[in-house]
Amino acid sequence: MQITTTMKEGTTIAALAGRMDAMTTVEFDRWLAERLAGGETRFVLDMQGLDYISSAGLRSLLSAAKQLKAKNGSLLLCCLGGTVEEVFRMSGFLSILPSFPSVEEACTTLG
Amino acid sequence: MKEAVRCILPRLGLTARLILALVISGALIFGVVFTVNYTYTSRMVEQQVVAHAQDVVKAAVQSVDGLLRGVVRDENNLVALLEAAPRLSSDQVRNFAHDHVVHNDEVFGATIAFEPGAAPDGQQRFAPYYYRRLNGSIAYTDLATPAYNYTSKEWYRNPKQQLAPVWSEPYFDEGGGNVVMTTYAVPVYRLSGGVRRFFGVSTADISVDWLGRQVSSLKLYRNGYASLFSRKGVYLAHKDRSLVLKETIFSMADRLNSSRLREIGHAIARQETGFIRDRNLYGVESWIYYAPVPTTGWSLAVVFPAAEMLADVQAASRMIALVCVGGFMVLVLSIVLVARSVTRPIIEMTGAAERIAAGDLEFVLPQIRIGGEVGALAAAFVRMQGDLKEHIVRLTETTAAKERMASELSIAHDLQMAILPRDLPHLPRLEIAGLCQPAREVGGDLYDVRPLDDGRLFFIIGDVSGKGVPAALYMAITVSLARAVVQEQAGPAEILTRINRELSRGNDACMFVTIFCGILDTASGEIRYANAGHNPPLLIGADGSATLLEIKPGLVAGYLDDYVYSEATCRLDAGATLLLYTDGVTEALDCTGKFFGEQRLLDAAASSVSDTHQLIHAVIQAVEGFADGAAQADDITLLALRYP
Repeated sequence: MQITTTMKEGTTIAALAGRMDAMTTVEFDRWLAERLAGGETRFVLDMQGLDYISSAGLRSLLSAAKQLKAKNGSLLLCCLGGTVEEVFRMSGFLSILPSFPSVEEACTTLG
Repeated sequence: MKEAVRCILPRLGLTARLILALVISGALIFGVVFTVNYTYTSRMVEQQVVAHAQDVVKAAVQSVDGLLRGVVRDENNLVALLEAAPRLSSDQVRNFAHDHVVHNDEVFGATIAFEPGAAPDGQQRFAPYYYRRLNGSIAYTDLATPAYNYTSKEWYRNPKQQLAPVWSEPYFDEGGGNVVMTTYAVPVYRLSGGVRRFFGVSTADISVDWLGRQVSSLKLYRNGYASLFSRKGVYLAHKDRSLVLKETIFSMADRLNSSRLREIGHAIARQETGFIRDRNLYGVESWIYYAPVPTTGWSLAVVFPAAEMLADVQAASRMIALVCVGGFMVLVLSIVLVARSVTRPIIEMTGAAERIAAGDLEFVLPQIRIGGEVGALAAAFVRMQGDLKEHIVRLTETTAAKERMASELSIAHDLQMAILPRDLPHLPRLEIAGLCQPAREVGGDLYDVRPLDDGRLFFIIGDVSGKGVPAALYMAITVSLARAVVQEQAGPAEILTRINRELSRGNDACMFVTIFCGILDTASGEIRYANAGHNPPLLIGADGSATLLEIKPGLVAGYLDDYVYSEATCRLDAGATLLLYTDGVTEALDCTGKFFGEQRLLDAAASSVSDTHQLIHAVIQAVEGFADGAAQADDITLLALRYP
């Protein structure tokens, strides 16, 4: 899994690509821990390049959302598609993790 | 050759290699130095020999020439006296001849031979001859005898005809001195009646023996010698007396078939000086130097055996060779000793390494006192033994821990399997089959089937996020909760809501579980169900058509404690099957990383509908066939309910 990070007006935009499974989720957890330690609290995850997400990946995202909620931060998803969107839809995650069609729209929501 | 070297070299030990390299390079260096030295020294010696030969010959020629010049001078003085004397008596002439022999050591004999009719005191012929006996006394004889007939002798005729002094070719003076001699003969003229007339010949004989002794006395190294040749190439003096006057250089050249010798003969005849290297008369390689003796036109030749000239060089070379070989041996010996001192610790360490490799970690390593690379190696070896011991201890501990863990996991596996329904309930109007196949020892999948008191049937299938021990624990909690809640006769949505509430409490790890649960009215075939983010089950009709049940997605259980699940219903007709599964089925991977997918599941399910066990078996086979050896990534669980 590759994580490409850009900053835009205080929002951390991370483009995830590849597979997010039990093995690679550790990378995401480490990345998030570094970002949180750096004081960043507003995240937009661009899921366009993501081919697959396992239940371990979902758990990691839930954990991230929970941690950010505790810090009054936010975690938004955007550009979901294909099987990944199906997984999000089926697991009911779309009801708790806000999702947007594009990065810009997600950023606009954050203000 | 190269192949052989390539084969043999790697097999040789360090000592052998060092010695081989040393011997080859040493032999090369030695060979080059020796050859250069020998060539250089030989050339120097040769130059010295040439110079020496020239000096010797020059001195010898001067010495011989000096002697002959003395003879010539004295003879000429005598002739002057004879020509100047107003009148000559026989006695006077005898005295002249006698004194000439007595006063000149180099003169063997002397005569004053008169032309017939010109002899003093009215004699017809007169030739008084004085010569030395072997004992040194002076003897007298008159050559004017009919038997001797001196006027016919060359020593008499040649100067008379040539009107000049002549050195005769050597000859044996039969009836005269009776020795081999050469004669300097000078024509004598006197005024007679105002006319200068030939009067006779005055001679001085020189014994060739004597000359030979003079020549032989020349010091020419150990085996060098000198020889004297007449202008015609006749041997006048040679260390082999048998050659003297009997052989010429040309006759010897013919006998030995030596063109070089013949060339020397011609050169001698031309009064030339030369230096050549060739075999001498005895076949010994020699340097031969020759030069003319001006007075007589003879030539003196000196012969030095080449081997003798180079004897010193060879002796010196032998000495150098001996020193080199000796030094070489010392070098080889020291190399052997050094190599041994280097290899001995290596050999000892090799032995130690074998002991350690065999498992004897307590083996006491040999003490290595040598420093440098080998010392460093030894030190590293000692460290390695220590580290190895430590590693073995650690490995033993780790292995024990691993074994303990494996054993614990094995027990956990058995326990987990026990949590799942061992015997599915046997109901008259329902066929039920279930299978749970964890990817590791323990997994996070779950299913359960419970007949309720009123004849209805509760069923549940779930999949905990993640895998392994945490998932297994969470799965156990979920199953226990479900069993506890289902006793309270609630509907599936309520059951699910309550399970979620319990699971969400204190769930900091954000574990969750997807659950599909339902209650089947076995009488009517009606199914009421609720879903917490689980995959939609398959509904397979009596005709074999398989479709995904259209369900509303609900949130996974365990995250939001106040989430309320909704309920939906569907119907199981006669001959229809409800197939529940976890994502381990649809997300099974093949070697290229492709998913098994819902479509393959639908296909596999549609082709086999007669029996629930067969159905599950067919799906598992389809998944395994698809994976084609790729490792199972996720737990696989299947639960099938069928109206017969």
